[in-house]
Amino acid sequence: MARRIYHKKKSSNGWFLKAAFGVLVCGALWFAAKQAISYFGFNPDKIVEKSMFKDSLFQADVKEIITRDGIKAYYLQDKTNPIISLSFLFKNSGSAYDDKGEEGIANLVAELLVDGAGKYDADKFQEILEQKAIVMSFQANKDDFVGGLKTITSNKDLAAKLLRLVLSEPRFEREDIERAKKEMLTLLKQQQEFPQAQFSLFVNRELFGEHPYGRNMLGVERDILALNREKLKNFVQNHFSKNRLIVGIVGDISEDDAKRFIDRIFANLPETGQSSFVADARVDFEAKEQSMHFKAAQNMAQFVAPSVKRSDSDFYPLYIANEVFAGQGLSSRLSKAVREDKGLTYGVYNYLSLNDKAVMMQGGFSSTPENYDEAKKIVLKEWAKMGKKGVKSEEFELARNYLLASFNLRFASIDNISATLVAMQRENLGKDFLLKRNQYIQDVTLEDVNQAAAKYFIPQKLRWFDLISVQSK
Amino acid sequence: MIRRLKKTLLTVLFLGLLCSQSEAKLFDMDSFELQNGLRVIVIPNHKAPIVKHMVWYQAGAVDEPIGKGGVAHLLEHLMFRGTKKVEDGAFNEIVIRNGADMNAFTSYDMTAYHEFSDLSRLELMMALEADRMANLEFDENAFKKEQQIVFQERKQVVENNPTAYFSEMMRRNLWQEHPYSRPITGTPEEILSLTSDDVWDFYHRFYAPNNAILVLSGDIDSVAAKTLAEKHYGKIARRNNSKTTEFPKLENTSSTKTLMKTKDVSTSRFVREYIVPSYRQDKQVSYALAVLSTYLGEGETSFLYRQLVKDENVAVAISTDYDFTGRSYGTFRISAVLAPNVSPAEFEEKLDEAMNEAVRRLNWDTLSMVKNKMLAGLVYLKDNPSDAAYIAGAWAMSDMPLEDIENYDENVLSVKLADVHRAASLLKHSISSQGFLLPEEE
Repeated sequence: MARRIYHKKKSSNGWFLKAAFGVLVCGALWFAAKQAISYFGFNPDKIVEKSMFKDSLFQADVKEIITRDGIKAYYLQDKTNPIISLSFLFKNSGSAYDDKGEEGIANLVAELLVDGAGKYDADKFQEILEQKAIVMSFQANKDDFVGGLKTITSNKDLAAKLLRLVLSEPRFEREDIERAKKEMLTLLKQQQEFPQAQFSLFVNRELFGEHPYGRNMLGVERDILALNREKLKNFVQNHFSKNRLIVGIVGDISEDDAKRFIDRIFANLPETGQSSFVADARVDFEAKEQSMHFKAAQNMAQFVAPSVKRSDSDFYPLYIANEVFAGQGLSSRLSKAVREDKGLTYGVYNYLSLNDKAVMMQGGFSSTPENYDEAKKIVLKEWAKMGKKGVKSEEFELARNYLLASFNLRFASIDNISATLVAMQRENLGKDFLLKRNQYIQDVTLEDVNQAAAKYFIPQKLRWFDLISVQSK
Repeated sequence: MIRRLKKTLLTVLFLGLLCSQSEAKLFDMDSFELQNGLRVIVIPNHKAPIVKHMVWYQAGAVDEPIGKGGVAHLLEHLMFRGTKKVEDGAFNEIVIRNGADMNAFTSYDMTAYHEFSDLSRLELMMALEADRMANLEFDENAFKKEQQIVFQERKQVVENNPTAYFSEMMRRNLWQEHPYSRPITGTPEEILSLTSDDVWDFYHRFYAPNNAILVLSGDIDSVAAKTLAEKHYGKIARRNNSKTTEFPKLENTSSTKTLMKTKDVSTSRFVREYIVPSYRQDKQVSYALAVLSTYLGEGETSFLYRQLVKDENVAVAISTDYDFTGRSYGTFRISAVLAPNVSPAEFEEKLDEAMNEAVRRLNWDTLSMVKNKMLAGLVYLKDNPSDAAYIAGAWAMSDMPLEDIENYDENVLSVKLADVHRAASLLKHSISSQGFLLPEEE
């Protein structure tokens, strides 16, 4: 079983002091001082060591279940509260897969699915959900169409029935479609008001060009206006099929009931559907830096660099390297250099972006114009240093300890657990991933991390974008 | 006739169900006080070996001296710098090395610090938090840097938002000389003019066990919690000089209307806020206001949404909320995004009509549906120990006794039709401020 490694600082060894003076009095004095320090000083390792609570890992006994109808799902029983959380997705049905001329359709469908199904119109449907505390949610990501259902165990049959209706017989009433379109057009307009949103659109356009990732994921006004009931129905038919379905279920429900629950919802979906093909994106990381001008209180930076897929053997080493570079909290290199030591920004980040068709490292910060150039210089310098010199063993231990010791936090909510079960299947991590995950982290060596850093933190392959603040548009 | 009977029967069934459910407490928590006045709330949840640890100080932007806007928030930042025992920068590192997620936030009425960690690291989190309750240390250099960071935060989080200027103006219009009128961050000028002495004064005045609540939510019971709270927080001395902030009493029932145009926005927004009693000021009214808000504008089945978005098409979105947690007054808010080509005058007229209509049409059946909507999903709040800690902490900070938090459902159920009518007429007679933010045509 995975155990945590805890980095221990050596306590100062005073034996040579004693030997040098050879005097009992000095020894006693030293002893007293040491006692005083350990009494008054702050020794985190000791506090953890002496804590009345010891390490224990959440037992994530995830099972793979197969329903009578042949649907596969990951399942975890948790009886803490009488509630159930179901997460699911339809693979490759997200916004990037919207057909040309229908950009925005996945979002519009997500918006409209809770507006009635079967014999229930929107008002009635939502009233039942509220009165029975059944929480249903849908969202179109770049790659996938994602859904969630949470219910009190005693209402599970009703919840299953309602979700089945939504996926097979959504109403898509004309007035609901018109209202949802208006909402989306409003969001599109509001997007124009925010410098951060405009900047991200600019970066994506420049990075991906004609590739679907270069689109505005909210959609295009002209296309949204042209969407109708028939197109929405087609979307559902083409995308909500068993061959794209991934399911995770957690909560106070037995294995048999979970199988029945899943069948009740998904069994009458068609086996297959159709969808458009999205090619891998080709990103030119060596392109020259580019800037846009916009009215804003600060300048902004976004930068991208090559990275690896989740299944690549470099994934964990690079993940840990980035944890040191820009990971959790304020003690990462970038945070220290730009924020903590200089006060140049409120925050700076860099993360491994794992979209299907383009993996990359992606980072950014914002800073008032008089600070911006200095902050940028520091980021570039730190980037180069990372590639050239890698990380020190203390930094490596710190990042590793964070990743190991924070393991249990992912089990805080059952919604998070069920989403994790879906992600495990989406990324082919296996049902025992949660039992092995800490071992994966522990297997990474400092050398692995430094090799990955040298391979991916290359200044020539860091592509940079600026938003330059101007006073009026 | 038969349909009507069926509906009533259904409602009775709902109520029957609720009465039997209301035996269950919201969190099944425990609370006790240490000798030094620190109040401790324990919310056991044994799903996973993790604990949310939060310390809430009754000290926020309202407690700042005039002209020292932003000092509560700047102090919140400096609390991460170090103490007499933990040197500058080490705090973050210790927390990270131990796998905890931590943060803090400052509001008008309070400041809270929180760590979410593995159970095995809980004691360490308690030791760190207890240490900085009494032994904060930072030098002038750290102060200057953090002041710059806070200045950048204001630029990034507030001023990069094109509606920020409007929101801050609305706040001033509504609250006038009341301290709720100021921005929590302070103005940029205030932030840059603060000194380290300002921060120390604030720290020494408000950061003390007898001015704080500790919340432990997660894999722990109250016996262990008591032992640990005593061990780590028990020795911190109480402070008796923390004089409570006094709030002006607002007596004029004025209302202001603002219309602002700017090229920075492309959709029209509306906000109307009413100054109403908080929980602390009037418990009965506050439950009625919460019910009223749910009925009027929370979710797509609410009255205003159906009327103004679905039927009349004058808004694209509308919602209401009631904040009862204030140490002084509470706020009741209606916000909307106008449909294109709807004028402010037309919207206001339709809104006022809809509000009157809503009150006229509210009957016993609707009221019980609204209450059930508020209560049906309460069990979900027990799921995530972090959410539970936020809710229990915020409610306890607004002076809500333990039994009122636990019996939230009973208190909501006890709201009568007449109470909601009274709450609605209260809105009409309270201080209010409304504003439209409109795009300016070039």
